[in-house]
Amino acid sequence: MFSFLAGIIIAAGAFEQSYQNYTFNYDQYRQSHRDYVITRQAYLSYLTLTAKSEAQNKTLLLLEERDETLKSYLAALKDKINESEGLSTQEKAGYTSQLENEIIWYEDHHNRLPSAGTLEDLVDSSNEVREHYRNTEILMYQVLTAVLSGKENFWRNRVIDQVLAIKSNLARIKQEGGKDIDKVERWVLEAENRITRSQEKQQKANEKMAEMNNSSNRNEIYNQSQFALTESHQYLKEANSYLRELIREIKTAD
Amino acid sequence: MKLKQPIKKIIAKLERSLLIKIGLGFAALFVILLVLALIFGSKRKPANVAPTPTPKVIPTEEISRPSLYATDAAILEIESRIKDIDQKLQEVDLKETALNPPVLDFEIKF
Repeated sequence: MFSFLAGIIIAAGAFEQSYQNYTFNYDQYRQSHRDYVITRQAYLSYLTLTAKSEAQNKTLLLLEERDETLKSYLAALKDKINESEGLSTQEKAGYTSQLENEIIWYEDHHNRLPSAGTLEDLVDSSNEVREHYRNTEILMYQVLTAVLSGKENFWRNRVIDQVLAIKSNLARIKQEGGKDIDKVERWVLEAENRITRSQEKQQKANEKMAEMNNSSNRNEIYNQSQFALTESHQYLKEANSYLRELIREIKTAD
Repeated sequence: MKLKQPIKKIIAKLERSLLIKIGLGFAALFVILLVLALIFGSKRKPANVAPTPTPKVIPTEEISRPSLYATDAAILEIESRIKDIDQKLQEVDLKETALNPPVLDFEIKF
């Protein structure tokens, strides 16, 4: 138990660190992007060798910062998934492996950037990332959905545990004959129905994510999946609310 | 000397009428002010009085007709866990917006 808790604490610390690293790199990228826009405009306006050289330098820096941003974001996601609840070890290992492969890809790309001799080479190098990013983006959204789904799984299991505990006690109460529990047993079914609806909505969220491979509007699909998870959570809250009423009924005389 | 008496009477008459006029003037002014106060006084904003604290009505979970199981340890334990879950469910973050992917420019061209 202690080592489990220690693991969670360490994982949370790792995520905080990697997230800070990501936000730092993202800020650096935004600054680089501003510089790139200025020098690009200057070059397109004047078409001088000096302007081109400056634009090339700023574009190189931009691409480097972009790679660093993506690497650090993927690293933060990796630490996030490792600290998440409600996911199996295999699921976490699967996502971690995929994220690590992506990080290696961007590291390799970053290392090749200085060898780009011309502005045109840099544009080609950027396009290489643009093509690859399609897969990276899908993975990002899959990991995010897994994190959120994991939370939902965790809390649903907690609610289910209470349903089981209630059922066990209802069997005892029935045996003792201390209270008429017909109404309570019906309410347990209502709570279980809500839990089932919650599971169905979560399933819908996962199915939505499967559409991402064939769509260019990945953000929209992610948002729709997230919405389904929100609905799933609402059903879960209702189920737990029913359990509260149920307990009150058990505590009330016939 | 005989002239002083009528003059005195006239002066007294004048003083009396003056006093009456002054008195009537004040009375009229008072009435006007009263009327103005009645007309415009109601449109005044109410004084800023600090409200007295309203007692919070917290719905109690007190049961009026407790059953045999109102104090049952196992039932109370489940109830406590359900309440805890209830609170935690309200706090769950199902958006994690801080983790949204960065917005990056992939259209680098010259």
